[in-house]
Amino acid sequence: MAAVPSALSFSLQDALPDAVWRGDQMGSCRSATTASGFHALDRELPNGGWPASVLIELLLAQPGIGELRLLAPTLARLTQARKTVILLAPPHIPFAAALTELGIDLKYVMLVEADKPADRIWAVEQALKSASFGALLCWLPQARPDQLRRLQLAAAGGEGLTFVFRPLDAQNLSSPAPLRLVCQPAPAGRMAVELIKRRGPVHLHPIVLPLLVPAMLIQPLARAMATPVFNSPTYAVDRPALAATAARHRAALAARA
Amino acid sequence: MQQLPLDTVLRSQPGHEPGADPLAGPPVAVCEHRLVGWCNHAAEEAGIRAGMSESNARALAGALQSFPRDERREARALREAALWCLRFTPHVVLRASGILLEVAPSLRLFRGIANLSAQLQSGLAELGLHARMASAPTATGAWLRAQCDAPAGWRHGQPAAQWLDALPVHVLEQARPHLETLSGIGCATVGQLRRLPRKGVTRRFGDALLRELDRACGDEAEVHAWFEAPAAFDAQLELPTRIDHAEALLFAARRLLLQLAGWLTARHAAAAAITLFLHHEPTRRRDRRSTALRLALGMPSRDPEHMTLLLREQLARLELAAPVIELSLQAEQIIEQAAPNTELFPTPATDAASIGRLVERLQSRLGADAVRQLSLFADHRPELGMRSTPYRANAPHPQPAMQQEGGSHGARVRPVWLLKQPLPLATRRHKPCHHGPLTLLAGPERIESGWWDDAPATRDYFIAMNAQHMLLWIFRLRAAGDTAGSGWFLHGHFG
Repeated sequence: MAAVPSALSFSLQDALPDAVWRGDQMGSCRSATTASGFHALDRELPNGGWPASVLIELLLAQPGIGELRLLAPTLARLTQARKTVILLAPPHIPFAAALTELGIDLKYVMLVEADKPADRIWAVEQALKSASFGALLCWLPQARPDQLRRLQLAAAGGEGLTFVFRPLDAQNLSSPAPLRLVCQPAPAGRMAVELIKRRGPVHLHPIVLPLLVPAMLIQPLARAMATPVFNSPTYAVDRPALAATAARHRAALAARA
Repeated sequence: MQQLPLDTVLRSQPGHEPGADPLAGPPVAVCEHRLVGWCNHAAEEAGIRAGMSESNARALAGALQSFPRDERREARALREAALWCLRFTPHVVLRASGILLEVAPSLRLFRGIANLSAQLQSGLAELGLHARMASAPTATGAWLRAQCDAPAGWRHGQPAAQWLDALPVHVLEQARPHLETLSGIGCATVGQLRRLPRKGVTRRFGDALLRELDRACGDEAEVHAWFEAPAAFDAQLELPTRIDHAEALLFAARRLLLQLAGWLTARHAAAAAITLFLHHEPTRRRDRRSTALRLALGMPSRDPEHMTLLLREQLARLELAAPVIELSLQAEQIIEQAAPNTELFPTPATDAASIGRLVERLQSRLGADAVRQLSLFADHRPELGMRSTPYRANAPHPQPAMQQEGGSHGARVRPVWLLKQPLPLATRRHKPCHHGPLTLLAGPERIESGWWDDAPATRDYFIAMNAQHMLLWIFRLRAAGDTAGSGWFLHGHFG
């Protein structure tokens, strides 16, 4: 009995680094993480990367705002390590050539089509239970909180990354996912990511991530940024020849009227 | 198996699934020569005991269901159990009322005797049988211990004589005819019997009794006739009632799958395809119909859990034409396969195996075409520039034909998402619009291809950005005459 008090005199924080968490710290859990490929994002994610074996919720206004370019560095690394990436019920056809260009090895990409919401949930659960994938990307526009809770429990058994894509209006609903991100497109092909839930202090300002933009688009994007084109009534084509043609056409139309 | 005759009757009765409350249900007794031989808990509650006459038992419980003993069915049940036991060891001996297993070489594989017996017991429970298990260094010793009511655990290294001496003498088969004499001479336990002079015992009770004792102690060698698995697997199961719902069949089918698992292990094989026949109730005489449910496995397997999962999905989609009264299971494609190695850490091989299983499971519910893989195809038209084929684990992946072209088309930029159907765009002031006017960022990239088949495409592709900063892939038809609308289409998102 004499040995017990000396054991208690340890600082609780030192003795139990993973069991005690204070609100101002970034949460640290023992689970492995995978670097996202964006330093600005990794800095804000607990443990410095995408957490494994939990649901990661990505909330988007609509598909096609850069969500795959956001995940591309991670997915590319996983497929190169011969881990399977499962795309479950994507909203559009994933274009093979573009995936290859992002560095994703098509050999390790599996596409699952499921139309009915119940089938989707079932398929996600099966995939999570099999725990044999590197990353699972699933589009669940109609998932209910109880279904997500079930999936979150199933995800705990695996070691893969699980990304759930949900519509933007789900951000006000409660969700069991420990990491939730709101993704919005930003000017110049970038993306504004806001962490609305994480194991850590409240995240205040959205991070703007420079997504991978094809080289041929960099200049036009910069120019489009420099000129506020969206409110101007002029023809918004930055190629002089085309613009001139358009102007001529417009003049002809006006003359006819 | 003390209650084998009772189990045989109970498992063909509805409402006696494993896990059901043993006290629920009507009292049941199995009678032999008009005497109650075995009865269930409910009957015991009513005061019925083994050895009572059948009419006495009826007087005690009016609702008593009594059945004559059916030794043929008992033997069949025992054979089914033996098939399941083959999963644990190739050395299985069938006795009249029980099964002997040599498990010493299997202990390491199944992580100890406790683990092994738990698995064995749960499988037997699913078959609807109850067993009293005991282990000992000799087969006869284990048999004797299983006969007495509360076999204490045998510890490794304990001398055989010690635990044997404590057993009551009636466990010895050869002692049964002489029980009265033995109790008359004050000989109640095996230990007391062993202390009698051998010569005297031989003279009074015959040679066989001593030899049984010697076998139990390991002093005399034992000869066993091992149970041999049949050459082909074909098992039937009569259902207790007519079953109308396909899902309810799963429970019964599982009994067959457990036997299959044991049989496959004994033959060092794995099944690539199995067929479950659902025999329907005949509507007229000599009109026997059956539904065949074929389960093809992408990867040969011998795991009953996996097959149960696949079967569940198949049964969930099945509409029964008529009530089912009997099931039979056949293993059709059998492939020689050694048992899989267990891995300490997950390796790519185990990952590939579990991906294969996942694909099978998904296909069993969503259809074979729902799980796909993508590959590049050399065509300039984007909608034809890739192929998606049903996913096959370990399939040789088609070599992307485009890679050979080298860098001549290196500058092509393609969106990640391709719309299934190009979306016609409206124009305002001759500018294509999609959630606001679009800014063209790059283009045109002219694609003019496919004059040789029926889907020619002559399009100018542009990369555009809309007011929400989304990057879009749009095209304008060059031969604008054949379409109404503006001729502008949205074809993809740079997601």
